[in-house]
Amino acid sequence: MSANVPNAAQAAQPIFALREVGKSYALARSPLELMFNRRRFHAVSDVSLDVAKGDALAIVGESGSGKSTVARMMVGLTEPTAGSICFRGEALNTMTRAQNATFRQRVQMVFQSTTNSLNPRKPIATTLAEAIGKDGVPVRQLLDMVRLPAFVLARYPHQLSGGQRQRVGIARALARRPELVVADEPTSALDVSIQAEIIKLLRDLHQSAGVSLVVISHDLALVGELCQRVVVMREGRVVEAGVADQVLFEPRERYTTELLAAIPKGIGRLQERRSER
Amino acid sequence: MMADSSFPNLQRKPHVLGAWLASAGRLLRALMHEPAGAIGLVTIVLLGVTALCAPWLPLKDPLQLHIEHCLEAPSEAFWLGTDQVGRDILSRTIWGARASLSIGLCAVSIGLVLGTGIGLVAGYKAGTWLDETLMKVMEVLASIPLLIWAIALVGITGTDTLHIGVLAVSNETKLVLLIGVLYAPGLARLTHSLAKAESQAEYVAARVLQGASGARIMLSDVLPNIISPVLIQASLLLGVTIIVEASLSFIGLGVQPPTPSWGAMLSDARTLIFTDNWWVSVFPGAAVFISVLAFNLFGDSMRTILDPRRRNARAANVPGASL
Amino acid sequence: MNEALLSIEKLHVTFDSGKTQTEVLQGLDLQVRRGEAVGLVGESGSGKSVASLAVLGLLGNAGRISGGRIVLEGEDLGRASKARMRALRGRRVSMIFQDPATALNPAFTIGVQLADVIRAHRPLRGRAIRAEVHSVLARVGFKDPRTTERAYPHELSGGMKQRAMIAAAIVCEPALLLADEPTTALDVTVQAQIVELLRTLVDEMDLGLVFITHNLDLMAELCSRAVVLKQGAVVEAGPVEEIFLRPSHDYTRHLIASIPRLPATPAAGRHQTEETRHVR
Repeated sequence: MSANVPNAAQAAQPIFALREVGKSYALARSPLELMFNRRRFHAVSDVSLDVAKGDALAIVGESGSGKSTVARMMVGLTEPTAGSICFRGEALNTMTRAQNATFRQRVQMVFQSTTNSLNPRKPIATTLAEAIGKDGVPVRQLLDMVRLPAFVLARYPHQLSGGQRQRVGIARALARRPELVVADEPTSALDVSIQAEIIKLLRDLHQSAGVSLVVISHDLALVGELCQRVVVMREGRVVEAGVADQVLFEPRERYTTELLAAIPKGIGRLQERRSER
Repeated sequence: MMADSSFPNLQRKPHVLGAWLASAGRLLRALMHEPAGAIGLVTIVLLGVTALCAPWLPLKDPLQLHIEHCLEAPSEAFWLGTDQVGRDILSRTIWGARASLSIGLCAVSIGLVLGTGIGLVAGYKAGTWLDETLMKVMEVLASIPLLIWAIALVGITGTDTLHIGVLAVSNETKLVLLIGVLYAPGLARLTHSLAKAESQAEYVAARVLQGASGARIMLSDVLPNIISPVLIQASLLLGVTIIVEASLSFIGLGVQPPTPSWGAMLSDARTLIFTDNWWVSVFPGAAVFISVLAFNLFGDSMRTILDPRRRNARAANVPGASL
Repeated sequence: MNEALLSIEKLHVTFDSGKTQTEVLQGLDLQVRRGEAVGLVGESGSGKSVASLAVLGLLGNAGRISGGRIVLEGEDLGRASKARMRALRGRRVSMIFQDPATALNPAFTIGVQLADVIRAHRPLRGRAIRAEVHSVLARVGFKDPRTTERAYPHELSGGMKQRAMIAAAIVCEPALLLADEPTTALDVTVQAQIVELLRTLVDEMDLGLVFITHNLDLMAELCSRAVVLKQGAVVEAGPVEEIFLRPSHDYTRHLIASIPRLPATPAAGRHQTEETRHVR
């Protein structure tokens, strides 16, 4: 199912084009077993979607939906076993070394875990210096972009709070002025009040710095605040895709409706129940 | 890189030596809370210093025979007594430490470099044919018993210095290579599982996304984070090597006479163990016992100190903050 | 029936680490009656989990109750002996945890683990235990208890593991259940099912429930009263509607505002920028 929503303002070639992408793993553990057991586990099947310049796309799903696998394939951390992924028209698996270097500069990722995403033995200064390289954003400006004070540079990751670590992760992703940032569950590991700040930061970066976003999340409400287009995945396949307003308010698929219904409504639900009694 | 002068701390590589010294300082302070480990460390240091300074200590010549004083009990003249041919046991024990400790250090170093190197590469590339091949080779090596290997090697090359072209490979060197190669699989297995797990970390993925080469990531990102347990294992192996060397020398495959080594001394004294001449076997035996114990106590307390759960407790500045 | 099942009065909990002492909980007041669900809301570092561990006497060596008291069914738990606490845990008061994967022993089947709990507290044997295991598994929503009891934890999904953990917690029919972020690690659809299950159990078993979470909306689905904690101190307490509609503390307001929510309608409450307007 295609998530290609025609968009008059961006009729040009999309930055990312995924066509019938699949990722499967052999269930057999040894070459001998492979002779008898050819079954495979399909983490992702037949996923097609486009990301245009300036987009803020959300890929939403529960655990096992394959959304993180899609994200990792998009940034080139794993290779698809079926289909093709093209960045600016070039297929990822046929890129030359130079094209690959450009790809790495243009596409970056923000990770989920705040405990695991920074090298515990390197101070923040080193981590950022590695990311900046020779021609990145000057470190002071980088810290300003993510609203971090200068003292974090001398600190180690375990000395920072979860929210600060996530900001460092975002700064690291932005260090060489990428065109597109894939954020894999950027707020899942954070406290509620910090989540709101990070979402705001991501939104500002999208709007003012013009960075295209692909946000992976299990939280529909969160992506509703951040993204204009939503792709819903389930068990490796795309279930529904479209503009956020349509998917969130007029879902066409039953699964999407279930997802929406499951979101805690808080005080609203409470008052409903009271009137039921 | 655009250097920003208002951030003087920003360097490509922070002072490596400074960081190491700071770590060492923290470790020593932690060691104060572990009396067993502190004792172990002090003993090791004393042993090492004594062995190193042996040539300058006022000791009798370890090779000098004093036939007229053979098998004398410990006395003013010979503090730990003399052996069957009248050599001073005190000086032989101290000089013997040099053999045991140096063989230990060299063998473990070889094992570390080989084993950690292979384990690191295999772990980082887990799941590929390279990983499988490397670890299968290690498994084959691990299946060889040490003594059989030693006997075979010495049987083939003899106990004299081997001359290959211009290289003169002494018996000690053969021994060191032998033991080192046989330590490699154990260390490789340990490093492999640690490296495999650590390579899944997101910061490693982030480095891949920055275009860093595999070698750089392995050495600069993965290795420093997994090295602690490996070093602990290595320190325990130092103790084991002393016993291994003693065993090999005992059966005549290790350090050759007249060079003193604890194993050789025990071998020479084997007919006297249960006789009145107790000092000939007890002192070298005690030396082995004390050094191995020291290495074990130290290594064990390091394991406690470097336990990752304690690291998390230190990291959360407030105890129970994660609750 | 109106008597408090659990009454926590001005509870202070302190953690010792070397020379420093940190007061992690500063004066918590909480009452729970049978058949009532009370929420304990806070972010990390608020001390909410510490409170439940204190009730169960599971603070460990580093933590201790430094003030106040905990009264369960009229009994002062501060004075209870270790043996008494062991008798109470699982029988009168139970707890379920956030990560079902670590709370269940991976080496044993669900049936064996449930049987262990039963055997520890009730004088049943053999077939009677199996019948109880089937009955409690059915109660928490497993359609086929015979298959489930033979399964190992890794064969179950997150939601199923959580149900199994709830089964272990209620099998001896406790009066009080402490739930420490039981749904945080679960998918949103499964979350809703677990909350529904808890609500059913509270009603059917006349259970007193303390629901610990950082998600105010989720808490409101289930609880009638709540206490909001910040850094160990109570900032707000009362009926859930009061907290939502008339929050008296800035922190509560901040928490309520921070939860990402779907706007009521497409046009309202969306951040409209120049770019998105053009796209439309």
